[in-house]
Amino acid sequence: MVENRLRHVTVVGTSIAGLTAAQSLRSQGFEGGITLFGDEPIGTYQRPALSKRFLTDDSLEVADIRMRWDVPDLIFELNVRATHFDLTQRQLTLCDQATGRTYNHSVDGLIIASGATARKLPGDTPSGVYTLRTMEDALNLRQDLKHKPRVAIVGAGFVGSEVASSCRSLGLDVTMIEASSSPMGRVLGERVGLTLAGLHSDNGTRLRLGAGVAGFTGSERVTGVRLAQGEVIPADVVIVGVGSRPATDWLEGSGLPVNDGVLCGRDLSIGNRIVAAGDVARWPSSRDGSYIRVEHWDNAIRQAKIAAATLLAPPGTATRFSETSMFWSDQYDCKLQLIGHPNPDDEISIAEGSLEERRCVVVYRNAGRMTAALLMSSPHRLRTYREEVLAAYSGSAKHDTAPRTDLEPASLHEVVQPTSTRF
Amino acid sequence: MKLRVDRNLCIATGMCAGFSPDALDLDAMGQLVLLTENPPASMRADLQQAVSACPVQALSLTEE
Repeated sequence: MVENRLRHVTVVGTSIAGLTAAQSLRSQGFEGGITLFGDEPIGTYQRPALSKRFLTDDSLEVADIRMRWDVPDLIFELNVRATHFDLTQRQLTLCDQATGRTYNHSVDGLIIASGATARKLPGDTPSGVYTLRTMEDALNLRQDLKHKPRVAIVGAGFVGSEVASSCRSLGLDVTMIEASSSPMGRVLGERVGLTLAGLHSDNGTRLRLGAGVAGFTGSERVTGVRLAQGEVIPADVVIVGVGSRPATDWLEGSGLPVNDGVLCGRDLSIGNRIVAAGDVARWPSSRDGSYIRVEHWDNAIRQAKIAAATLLAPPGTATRFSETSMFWSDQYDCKLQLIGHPNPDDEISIAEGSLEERRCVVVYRNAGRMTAALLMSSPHRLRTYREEVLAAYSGSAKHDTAPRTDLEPASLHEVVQPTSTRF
Repeated sequence: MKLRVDRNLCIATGMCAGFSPDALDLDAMGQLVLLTENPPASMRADLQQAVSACPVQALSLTEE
């Protein structure tokens, strides 16, 4: 067999998944070229800060939340958007957003880390309506918040809840509108959601739960949010936090499998010398084989390391990804830390403390097996519960279900050796 | 090696403790606890991961 050594790796995406993958290639001894393409004008930064301290502290400059690293020989091409990939020719098409120039780039190894983009509401959007995903979004919103606007937030998920907290800390008038019956209840369960509703109310955020949004009022500049029932919530600034969708437009027609994310194997491989990591990657869960996608910092980092290892590993020897990641969210005086992945129909129990005091550990179980633990203002319990959740996941991995085949791209049929992943 | 945390930056996300549980933990007040300030070389790989995983880059590891 002729050795066909990997000479160059192209990384699409310069957020934490892309940067970590590049760092991991170097730390695993890869000496070839690495080029990273990013669609924002600046390199890797602390995206989680955009809904938190970067929004509330206007003394922070872009440079203050840039990630620093000391990895040799990474080439960054910024403000460049991937527009197409041709798998047969292994050619990536890019558009320089400053000049509009389109050019091609030959691909040897490819790491798909293009992330996600904020979902928008349908219809026309007057000025003063924001999504919050990019540095540009955050800078514009922050500027607008200086004028002490009345704020309406559409969607009480992760971003919406944090922005509500940030805006209240600026002393702003805040109304948060949510279609379901509680903030983050679809992820964390209704009991926790109702507790979080109390957290918002106690901190002065008005909640409109079970309220659909029909559109905005105001022609040039927004004046309010029109609810489905006809009522208008007056607002000078609106933040739409209704989730995000994986940035896979550039992969349409590429020959790679795309279905709410790019479909990967358990080792995050997609095809020959192509891997994915972060918000854009959808992979068969080690728990039950169903395809999942996770949009969190910790997951992006953990996946990037595995994706890099997979790219460098001889076929059939790659490490598979085990998804026990965590997220944190700071809302008002409450710190939320979730370890693992709860299902909507999980059984919930309060293992320690009390929900009413918002200082507790909530444990999620499915068929008796722990799936997740949520710490509310209990950071000192992180170690214990991470170990418990990890033990529960590694227990379930022993039962080892095959990936579901209905969504399975051809490349997944390669044998992936089960190996333990260190957390 | 010397492990340091910038307490003005640390927001106690717990990311670092996830990568290097032998060297880092959180207390009940959400303060990061360095279980060792002079970690042995055997912890280097984990600690490098912890340093790069910190979303506010509050951790540093230097050779001393």
